[in-house]
Amino acid sequence: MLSVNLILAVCIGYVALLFAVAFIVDRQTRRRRIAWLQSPIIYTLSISVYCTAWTFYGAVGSAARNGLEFVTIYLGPTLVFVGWWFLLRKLVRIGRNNRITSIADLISSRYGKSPSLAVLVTTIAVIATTPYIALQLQGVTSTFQVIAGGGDAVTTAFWVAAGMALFTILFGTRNLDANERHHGVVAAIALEAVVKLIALIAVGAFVTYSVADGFRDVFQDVSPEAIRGAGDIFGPRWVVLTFLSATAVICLPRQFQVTVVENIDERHLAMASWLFPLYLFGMVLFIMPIAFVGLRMMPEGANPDLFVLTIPLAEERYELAMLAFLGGFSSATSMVIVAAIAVSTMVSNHVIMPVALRVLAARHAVSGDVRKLLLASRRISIGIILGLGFLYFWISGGSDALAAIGLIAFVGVAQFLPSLLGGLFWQGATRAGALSGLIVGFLLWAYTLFLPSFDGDFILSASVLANGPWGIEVLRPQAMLGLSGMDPLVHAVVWSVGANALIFLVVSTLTEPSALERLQGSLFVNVYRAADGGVSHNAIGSADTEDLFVLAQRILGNEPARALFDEMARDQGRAGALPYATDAVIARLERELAGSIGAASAHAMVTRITGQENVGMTELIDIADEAQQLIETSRELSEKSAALEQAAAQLRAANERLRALDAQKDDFLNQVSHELRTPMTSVRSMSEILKEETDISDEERARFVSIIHNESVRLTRLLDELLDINRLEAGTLNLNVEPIEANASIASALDAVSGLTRNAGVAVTFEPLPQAVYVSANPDRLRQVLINTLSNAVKYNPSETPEIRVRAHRNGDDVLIDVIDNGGGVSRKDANMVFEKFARGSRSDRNQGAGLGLAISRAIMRKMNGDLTIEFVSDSISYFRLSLKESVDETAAFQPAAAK
Amino acid sequence: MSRRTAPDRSIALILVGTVLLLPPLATIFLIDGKLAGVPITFLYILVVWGLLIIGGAILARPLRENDTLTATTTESEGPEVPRTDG
Repeated sequence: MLSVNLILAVCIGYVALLFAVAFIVDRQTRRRRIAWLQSPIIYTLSISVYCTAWTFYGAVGSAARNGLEFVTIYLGPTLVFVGWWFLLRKLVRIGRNNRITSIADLISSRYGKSPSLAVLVTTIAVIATTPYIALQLQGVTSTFQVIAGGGDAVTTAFWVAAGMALFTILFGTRNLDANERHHGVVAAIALEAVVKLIALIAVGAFVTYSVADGFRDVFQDVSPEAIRGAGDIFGPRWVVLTFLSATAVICLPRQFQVTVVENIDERHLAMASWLFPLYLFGMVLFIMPIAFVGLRMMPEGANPDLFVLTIPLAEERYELAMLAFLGGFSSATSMVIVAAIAVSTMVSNHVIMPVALRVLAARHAVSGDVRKLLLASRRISIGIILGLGFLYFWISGGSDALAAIGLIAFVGVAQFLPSLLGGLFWQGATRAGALSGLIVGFLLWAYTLFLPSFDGDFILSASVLANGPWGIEVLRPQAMLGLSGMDPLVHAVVWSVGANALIFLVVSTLTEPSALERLQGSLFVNVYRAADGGVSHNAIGSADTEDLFVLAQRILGNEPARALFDEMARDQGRAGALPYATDAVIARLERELAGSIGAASAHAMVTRITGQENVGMTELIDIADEAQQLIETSRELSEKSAALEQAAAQLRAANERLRALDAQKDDFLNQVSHELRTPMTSVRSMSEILKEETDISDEERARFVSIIHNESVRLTRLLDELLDINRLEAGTLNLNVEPIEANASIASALDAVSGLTRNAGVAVTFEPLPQAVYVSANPDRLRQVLINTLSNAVKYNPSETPEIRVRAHRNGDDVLIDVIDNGGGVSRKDANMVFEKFARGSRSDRNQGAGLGLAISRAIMRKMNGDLTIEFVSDSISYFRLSLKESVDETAAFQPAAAK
Repeated sequence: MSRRTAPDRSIALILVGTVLLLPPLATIFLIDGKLAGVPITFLYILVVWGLLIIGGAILARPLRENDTLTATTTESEGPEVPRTDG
C-alpha cells in the first residue's frame, strides 16, 4: 500500500512541476523565446484536454458495461479533425480575424455583437460546465481514496479545487493578452496530456502483456455480447453519440479555448488534423483489454470505472498505480483549468464587465482602473466557476448522478451547434433565430435530460418523471409527446437539438437581420474572401482620438495603448502625435479591445466614444433607398420633361396655327373691309351726287336711288353672311336636325331658283331618288345650301347654252345630291381655294357676291353631319356634291312606311 | 498530389469515413468472429480509424499549401508575437 504522505508528496511535486513549467514558459514568451512553443505538437497536445477523468477512467467502465460503444466518443472528434479544412479552419480564421475570446463571444459577434446572446451562451456554458467540473473533482477524490485507502472526499475535493483555482488565477490571468492566449497554461496542459497518454498506455500494456498474455488471451473468453453491449451496438445511440462527440469537440468551451483561441498559427491545424486523432487512437487502444481483463480478474461488484487504478493495485504494482493516478489527476486538472479559463472569460466579459463598465462610466474613473477591474473580474470569475463546481460536488455528495454528467454536458453544449454552424455558413441566420433556437434547445435539454438526471431529487420529482407534470403523460420528460421506447439520451438529443435547429432555421427566415448582423454575417461567412478581416467601419461624426486613447489605456494598459496608438499614428504619417480617428483606426482599436473584453463590450464602448453608431446596414439601406428614390424621381422628371417637350411642341404648333389664324383674320378683315368698301363707295358717291347736284333729272335720281338701294341690300346680305359664318365657325349656331324627304327638299330649292334660271336661260334637269328617302337635316339650311350651290352653278357658268343637272342617289347610308353644270365647274387648281372665305373661282368675275357662300354652305353641311365636296370628272371638269346621312330616326323609319 | 484536388479528396475521405463508421454499413461488420484473437467488429473500427488518420496525414500538407495559395494574408504575417504588458 502507498502511504498517504507519499501520494501527497508526489501530487504536490507534480503540481509544483506544472506550476514551474507554466511559469518558465510564461517568462520565455515574455522574452520572446517561444519558437519551440509554437510547435504544432504542443497545440495538438493541448487539444487533448478533450480527454478528461471521465474518459480516462470512465471509458474502461463504459467498455465493461456497454462494449464497443465508448469508441464513439473518440470517433466524432476524429471525423471533425480529419475534416479540419471545412470547419475548424474557418473557425480559427474567424477567431483570429475578430479576436474572438470564447464561444459566447463568437456567437454574439456573429449575430451583431449581441450582448443578450453572449449572456445566454455564457449561462448555458456555466450550467453545463459546473457539473462537469464536479465530475472531475469526484474523479480525483474517489481515486485518491482508492489509492490512499481512505481520506475525506470533501476535503480532498476542496484542496484540489483550491489548487486549481490558484493555478488558473496565476497563469490564466497573468496578463490580459490581446488574443486571450495563455502560453504557460498551454504548456502545462501539453505536459499533462503526455502524462495521461503514457499512464494509460503503460497500464494498458501492463494489463495486456503482463496480467494477460497478449490480445489473443484478452479476448479469448469474451462473448460477442460483451462487445456488442446490451443492445444493438450500431443503433441510434451509436449515431447520436458520434454526433455528440463531434459536436462537443467544437462546442465545449474548453475545446473552443484550446482549438480556436489558443491557436497561434492556422497551419498548426494541419498537423493536429491527424495527430489528435492518433492521440485519441492511442488512448483507446488498451481500453477494451483493461476492461475485459478487469472483469475477469477483479472480484464481483468491483467498480469498472476504477479498473485503470485498481488492477495495478491488485497486482501490487504501486509505481504503476501512482502513474495511473497521476494520469487521471492530469486529465481532471487540465480539464478544470482550461474550463475555468474559458468559462470565466465568458462570465467576466459578458456578465461582470458590462455591468462594471456601466457603473464605472457613470463615475468617470481614471485610466488604469478598467484594467485592474478586468483582472479582478477574471479572477473572481475563476473563483466562482471552481467554487460552483466544488459546491455541486459537495451537495450532490459524489452521487452516481455525476457519472452520466459527461454526456449530459455534451448535449448541453450541442445546443450551440445550430447557431454556430448557421452563423459560419449561412448569411441569412439572424440573432432572433439564434436566440430563440438556443433558448428552446436549452429548456428542452434541461427538461428532458439534465433535470431527470437527478432521479427526482432536484426540481422534477420522481412522480413527474414517471407520470409527467400534473400527471400529463404526454409531457413526461423522457417520453415527450409519447415518444417513448427510446434511449433517454437519444430522446433528449432528438428533442433539444432538433427543436433548436428547426426553430433557429424558421425564425431566421422569418426575421430581418440588423445592419451589424448583416455586416458580421458576411464577414464570418465570407471570411476567406476578406483580405484582412478588416471591418468596413465607416464612422460618421468625429471621434475624439484622445477619448479613444484614454479608453485604450484603461483596458490595454498604458504602454500597450501608447504603442498601439504610436503605431497607428506612424501608419498615418503622424509620428509623435495621436492618429486621426479614421475608420481603420476605430476598427483596429475595436478589434484590439475585443481581445480583452469581448466584441460586444468593445463595440459598445468604442461606439459610445465615437458618439455615433457606425454606418450600419440600415443607414446604407436608407442611403440606397434614397438613391433609388432619386432614380425614381429623375425617371419621373425625364418623363415629365418629355411630356413638357411634347406640350411645348404642341404649343409651338398651336402658336403657329394661331399666327396663321391671325394672318387669316387680318386677311379676312382686309377682305371684309374691302367687300364693305366697294358698296359703301357706291352708296357714298351716289348720295353725294344726290346731295350736291341740284340739276339732275328725276330719271337719273331714280337710278341713283336704286343703286343705293341695291348696294345697301348687298351690304346687308354681306353682313348677314358674315354673322352666319361667324356663328358657324364659333359653333354657336344650333341647327335643329330633323328627318326630311330629300326629293321634296331638292324640288323646293329648284323652285326657289326657277326665276333665276329662267332669266339666265339655264336648262335644269332633275333626276330624283327612285323612292322617298329621309335625310337628317335642317330643312331651311339645306334649302339655303341647295339654293347657293344652284345659283353658283347658274352664275359661274360661262357656257353659251348653260345647263344644270341635279342628280340624287344613294351610296350606302349616304344620300348624295350632285349639282352638275356644263360650265366645267371648279378647276382642280381652285378646288381648295373656293371654300375659303371671300374666294371666287378664277372662272367667275369679280362683281358677284362676297365669296362667302361656299364657305357657309360647307360649314352648314358639316354641321348636319354631311359635307359639301367637289367631285372631279377630270382635272378641269368637276361638280359639287352634297352628301347627307340617311335619317335613322324612328319616326323617319315610320314615315316612309306610312307614305307607301 | 495536386494542391487543387486536396480539398475534394478531403471531403471524400470524411464522407467515406463517416459512412463506414455509422450504420447501416457498419452493421455488416457486426460479426461474431475473431481475427488474430481480436473481435472482428473492434478490429474493423480500429482499421477504419487508422485509415482515416493515415488519410488525414497524407492530405494535411497539400491542404496546408493549398491554403497558402488561396489566402496569403494571414500567412504573410507570420506567427503572431504576443503582447506583453508592462
